[in-house]
Amino acid sequence: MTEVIKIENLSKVYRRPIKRDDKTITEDFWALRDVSLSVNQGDILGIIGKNGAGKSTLLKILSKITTPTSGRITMSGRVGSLLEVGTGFHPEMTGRENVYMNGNVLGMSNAEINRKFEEIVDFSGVADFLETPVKRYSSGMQTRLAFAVAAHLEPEILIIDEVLAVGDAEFQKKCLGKMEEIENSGRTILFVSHNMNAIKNLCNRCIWLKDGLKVEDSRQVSSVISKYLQNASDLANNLSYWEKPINIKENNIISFESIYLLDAGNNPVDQIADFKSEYYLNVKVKCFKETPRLAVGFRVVSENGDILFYSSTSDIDDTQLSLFRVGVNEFKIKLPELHLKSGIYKLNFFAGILGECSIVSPDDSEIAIAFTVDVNQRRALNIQEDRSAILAPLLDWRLT
Amino acid sequence: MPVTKSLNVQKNVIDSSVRKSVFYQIKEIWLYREIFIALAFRDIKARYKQSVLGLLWVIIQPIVTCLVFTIVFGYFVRVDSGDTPYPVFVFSGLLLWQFFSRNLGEGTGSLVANSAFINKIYFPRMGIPLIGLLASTVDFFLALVILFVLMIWFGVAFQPQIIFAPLIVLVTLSLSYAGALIFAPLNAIYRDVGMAIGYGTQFLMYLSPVIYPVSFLPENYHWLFDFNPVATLLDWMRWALIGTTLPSSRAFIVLGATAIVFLIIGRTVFRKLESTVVDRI
Repeated sequence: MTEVIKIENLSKVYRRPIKRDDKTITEDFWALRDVSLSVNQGDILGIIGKNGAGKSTLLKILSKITTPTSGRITMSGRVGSLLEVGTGFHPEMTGRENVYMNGNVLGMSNAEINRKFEEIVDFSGVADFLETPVKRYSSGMQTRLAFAVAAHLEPEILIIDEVLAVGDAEFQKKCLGKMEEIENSGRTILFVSHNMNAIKNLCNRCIWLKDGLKVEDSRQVSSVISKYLQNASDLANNLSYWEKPINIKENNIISFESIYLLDAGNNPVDQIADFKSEYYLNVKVKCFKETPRLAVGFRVVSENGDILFYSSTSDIDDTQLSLFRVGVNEFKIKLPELHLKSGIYKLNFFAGILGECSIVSPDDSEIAIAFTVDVNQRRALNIQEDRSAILAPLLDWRLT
Repeated sequence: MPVTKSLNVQKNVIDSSVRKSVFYQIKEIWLYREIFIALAFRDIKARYKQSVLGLLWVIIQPIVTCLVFTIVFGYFVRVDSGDTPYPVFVFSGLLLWQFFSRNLGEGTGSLVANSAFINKIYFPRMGIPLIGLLASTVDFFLALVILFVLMIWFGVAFQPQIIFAPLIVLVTLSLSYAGALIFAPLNAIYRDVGMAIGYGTQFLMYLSPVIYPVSFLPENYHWLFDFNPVATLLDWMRWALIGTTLPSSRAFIVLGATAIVFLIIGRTVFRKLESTVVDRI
């Protein structure tokens, strides 16, 4: 095995301003602490960890975007990094012009892009819009084009940060396929993702970063993931109910007051044991002023990071634009028969004005509850749980 | 030529104390040249893409400025521009002045303007101020064509020393690049720098013989212009284009020394602040 990346005692400190007693002082923030790592050719290294654990900082240092505070990295081979899809896209320029720009920016020469142009366009599926300025593209189209360019870069070392979070399912599949292809060609990939399924499927090695430290590093990808998830589910914010804390960020439109998961008898619960019984969400929101097109909702995320679905007040009837009364609004939402696998599920709540702005984004929402699904008890064999599927319905296999 | 291949194929070391030689830096900028050229073209295209008159603006702007100065200073104030008709005189100065001041202004703002890239991809950042310089050099040569038209119109003879023009452009570029290297990282940290540069250049314009010839002032003040490198550049360019007198050798020594010293200071300041800028931008 040839070693392509050698990281020795890498640390990075950021100075960031913080407010303390109405004074702004700067504080050192250690994004990475003494990380050492050796990556061999052909390694598909998954990097997991919470937001702020140092994953992106590590990738930024590897792509030479920022310099380490101390430590040393030795790399051999051409490095291609895709830290954010659409980097370098210029809205006024056409798709074609942007392919060249973006390619240059990622380290391809014009001659190289000429050679791969057809292939890139084919992969992106935006062939009909090549002469259209990119600003008229949908975000999905932009993503597709950007990934297409990056995927054809053919570097010896490919660095990817959470690009699969965007794009539709079909395109995600295509991207994963392309990455597998890169993998099979013996190149090295460093891959940051919150999507544990993608990590599990793609990577042959996984490291877990926690507060800038490397806490796990193993070729047993699943075991690193489950350790990480166990740790994540211990977190205090995964309560089965949510009540407005005192220090929450306020806005002048809407605020969440409380969220509970209730059973049919209106008792708060933290576990769903059986999808045949009825469960309800009780959500109280306070509305401060008459706001047209206001909507609140939530999304359900599995412990692997897969988003199962979204639900929002705007789903019911989008002509019903003034659903909210000024004051406290209480919703009772019956949960559908989901037939989820056993596990921990998280509900992130969000609020926004339709077609205008997001007030609370589901991606960084502190407004969340979690519940456990434990349906094993009703099964003789829990084979279902070992399958890599999201749902685990028990169907009635009956001979006719 | 795969851009990064030649740089990355050998062992590539990243650590906290990367000391790169000047030659390495120049070589690196050269290897990434396609990005810089693409970014310069992006700037040029984006600037004119949504305007109806498009590239005509490159011509309209200096003509209008020239017209205003001709009316105010040539007609009302009656600045004496010697044998050269005032419009040709003022245009030959404005040409280089606008080139210099735009270079300095855009160079100073270049790190902020390209922050979207700086944070996401690596390329030699010292090349970033060059993007604006490339774009405005194109504008300069277009404006030069207008000067030629004006010269023919007013019957001003072309000079053989015009072959020095590219050299003068190069010296102007070096001086404004040096300024951009100093001010661009400072501006990325404190935006006030950009504002101050904006006012500063306006002020400098009146201190330099752009709209008036040096002979407009009493003779015992003329030596002062020797210590203004921009004045030397302007008079040097006028000498090459319309055959006015060449600045003194003392003026050239000051110009050369300023350019070299500023380039060295610029490189030092830029290197010192580069990583701070990347983390804070």
